[in-house]
Amino acid sequence: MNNNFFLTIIFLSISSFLFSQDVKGTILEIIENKETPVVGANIYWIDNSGGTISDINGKFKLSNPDNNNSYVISFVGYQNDTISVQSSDAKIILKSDAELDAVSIRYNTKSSSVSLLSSANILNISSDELLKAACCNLSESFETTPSIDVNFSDGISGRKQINMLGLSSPNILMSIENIPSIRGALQSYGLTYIPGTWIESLQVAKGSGSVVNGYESISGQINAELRKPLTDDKFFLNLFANQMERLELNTHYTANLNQKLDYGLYFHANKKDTSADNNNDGFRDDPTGQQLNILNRFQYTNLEKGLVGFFDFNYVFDERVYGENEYIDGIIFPENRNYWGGKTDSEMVKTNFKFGYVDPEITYRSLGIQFAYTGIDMGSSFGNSIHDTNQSSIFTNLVYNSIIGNTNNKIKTGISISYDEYDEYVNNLGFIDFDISRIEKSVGAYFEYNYDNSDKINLSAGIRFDNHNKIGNFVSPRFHMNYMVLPKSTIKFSFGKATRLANIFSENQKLFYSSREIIFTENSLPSDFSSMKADQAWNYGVSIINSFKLFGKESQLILDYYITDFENKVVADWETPTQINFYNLNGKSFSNSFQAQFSHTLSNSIDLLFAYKNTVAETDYSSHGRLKNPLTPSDRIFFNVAYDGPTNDKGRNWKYDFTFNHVGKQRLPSTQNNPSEYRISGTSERLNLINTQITRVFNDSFQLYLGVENLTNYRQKNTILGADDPFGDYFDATYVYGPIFGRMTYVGLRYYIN
Amino acid sequence: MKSNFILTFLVLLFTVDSISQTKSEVIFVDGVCGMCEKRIESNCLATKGIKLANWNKENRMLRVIFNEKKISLEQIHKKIASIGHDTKLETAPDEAYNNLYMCCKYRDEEVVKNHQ
Repeated sequence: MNNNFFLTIIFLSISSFLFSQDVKGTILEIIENKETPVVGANIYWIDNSGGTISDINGKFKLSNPDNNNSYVISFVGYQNDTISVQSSDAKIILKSDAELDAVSIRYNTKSSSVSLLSSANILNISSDELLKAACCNLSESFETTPSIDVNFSDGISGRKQINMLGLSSPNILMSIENIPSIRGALQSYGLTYIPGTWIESLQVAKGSGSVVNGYESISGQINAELRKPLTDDKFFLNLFANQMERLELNTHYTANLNQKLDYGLYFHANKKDTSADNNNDGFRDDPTGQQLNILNRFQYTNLEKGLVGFFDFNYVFDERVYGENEYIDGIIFPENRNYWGGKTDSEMVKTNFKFGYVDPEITYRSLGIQFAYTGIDMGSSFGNSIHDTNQSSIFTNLVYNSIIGNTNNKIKTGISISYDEYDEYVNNLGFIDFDISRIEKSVGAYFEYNYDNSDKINLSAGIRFDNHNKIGNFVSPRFHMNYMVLPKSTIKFSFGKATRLANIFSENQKLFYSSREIIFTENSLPSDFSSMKADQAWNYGVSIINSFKLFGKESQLILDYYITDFENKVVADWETPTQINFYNLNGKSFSNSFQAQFSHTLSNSIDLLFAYKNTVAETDYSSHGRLKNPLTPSDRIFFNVAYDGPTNDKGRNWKYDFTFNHVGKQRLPSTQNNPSEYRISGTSERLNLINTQITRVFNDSFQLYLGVENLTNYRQKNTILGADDPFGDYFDATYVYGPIFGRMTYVGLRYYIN
Repeated sequence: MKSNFILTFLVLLFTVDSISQTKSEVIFVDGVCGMCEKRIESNCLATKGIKLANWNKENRMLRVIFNEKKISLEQIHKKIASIGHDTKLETAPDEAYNNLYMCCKYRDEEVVKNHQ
């Protein structure tokens, strides 16, 4: 039962879908009588069963699956130091070697990176990357990530929507710690329920994901790892305010309850009492409202027995009021009815339970269980329309890891069960009722084989079989391969099939910000969505990653091309201006996306990133033939400069970040049949958008930041069609392709206690 | 019904895996660099009966998990010595040691020093 490295490896590999746990500390040296962090020191277990390197702040985390009690710190110019594991957060001051002077080595670690080794094309975004922009919540966390496009979903709700490979967020499997989470009713507001400061890291996987995480990932998977009580700061406070009087508070508190149990309290609140109308269309630019979001986390770690677990309890209360400036929520005076407006009220309760076991002797063997319950109650009004959803969901996944023969051949297998009960009611413009209550349940089994010859080839092939009460039986094959052509050049291939049952009203909730009439072409008044076939698509991708030195500095070129080809799909047809038609795809729908990305480290403190993206996404519409998918930019140019200045002896430094985005033309649904005053051009303007942020780090525990979004003050004209007559036939706030508000300044502070 | 299914599934998985006689050991294997690590590990994994091999160049300890029915610990020592790496029990024959790349010559103090 002594020390072993593989436990660590296996822990790490499960941590990608279950958990992770570490011992942490800070390594310091004394320079001019000041404690200064040591970057790049080696930290390893005394028996050598695993190690790590200290980061830019001298911090390190070391997994301790074996319950080791001593570790060694080594660094050029200093004596090796052996430390016993007493506190989980040690402060270590290195002692100088007799004669050698301290030689400080500085590594420049990237805050977002793609692995050269793993078989899947996964971009890892660390919390450092998230600090580069305002990032109030998950929907705003991708401003500095070219693979993902972020835009407003409509002209009224202020909600943002993300796109990957030319497809909108319902096509992306969004998981939190590998439990599928942003789904069902949460397709509308769910991304705003994950505060940015709770996120420890994000994994963005292009193409079909692993079978372990379910059958739903059509264009990719985004996984958010939340902060863990064991490794998180003791206390954290973040305050944020922007020019439009949006106020946010985030605070985290963690406590070590006993040797095996850690607790974390994560609290988020935001509030916006007033809303300006800077574009003078008579409507608030952004809704008013508030959110209260509390997460309790218990983390259990018993290393002797190889057991780890999490228990989470999350409660969210959120309300948003939107519409005309004069509209006041809750007032029932008849005059108030003359104004178009509405409110979304949501409450969510979520519990997760996760448990993992690693055989302490046979360390490549492990077992994990995930269980999640989510209850959502969301009620919305929009002018004369109503959309209410009640959802109860249960998700269970059981995964077993082992090997065949030796550790070059790993397997993962397991079963998952999901149960969703929906009670959904829609009233369209005060005329038509849709009473849609349904139960969706599925049971699936999966098997994934991974071959890694620790040299050139790493491949994983997975298959899963699912039985779904609405879809029937279906198979989801997935394949990923990584071939290392040269030591720093890699080519990745992938293909896979995904299936997903659309949640029509929640996914297309923006339709309620218009006077469009809802029409189900094949079944005029559905009592459930059974006449609609499940979305089903194949995804094929190839990616070339090449790392090299340019002018003596680290550089990386990534080229990738992905094809998503739908076999079935619920088409949301916006092409008739006063209607929204839903029908099953008859013909083709596809999205082909090419991306070239070049990153270059200019110096120890400056990183550059250029990206170009081209997307061709088209769908066959029943009445209009094949058209480009609406509101999908044909091309995008992205440029980012990140500066992370030298830290002086007081621990102070400056950070600066600049992002330029050029968004190409987007097709807008036709307005040609409208009266001339309600017509707009069929294509959007090209947009140039700049975001920038400057951060002053005062010391380990205090930072201030100031940022500007949309520096050039670009504003889309006419975000709400027919704003002068919101109860008329031509009112429509769905033609939104650019920023609604102009230049937006924000400030914030971060305070940490370790 | 479902819970029965899960239970059966679990028991099945663990029994399938536990039938074989797996043993875990940590042994000293001399070496000096990343190439040594690759050589030691890949040769071990290519040997029938060895399930896991992980060598750490900092303390030169090899963790090995193997099937006792297929290979003994002595045979593992011999195997590693035959590719040029000294172990606690076996010294590598000279011709195997001489076949190592220059940078892997762990008996040469100069080479060891260069790696530090």
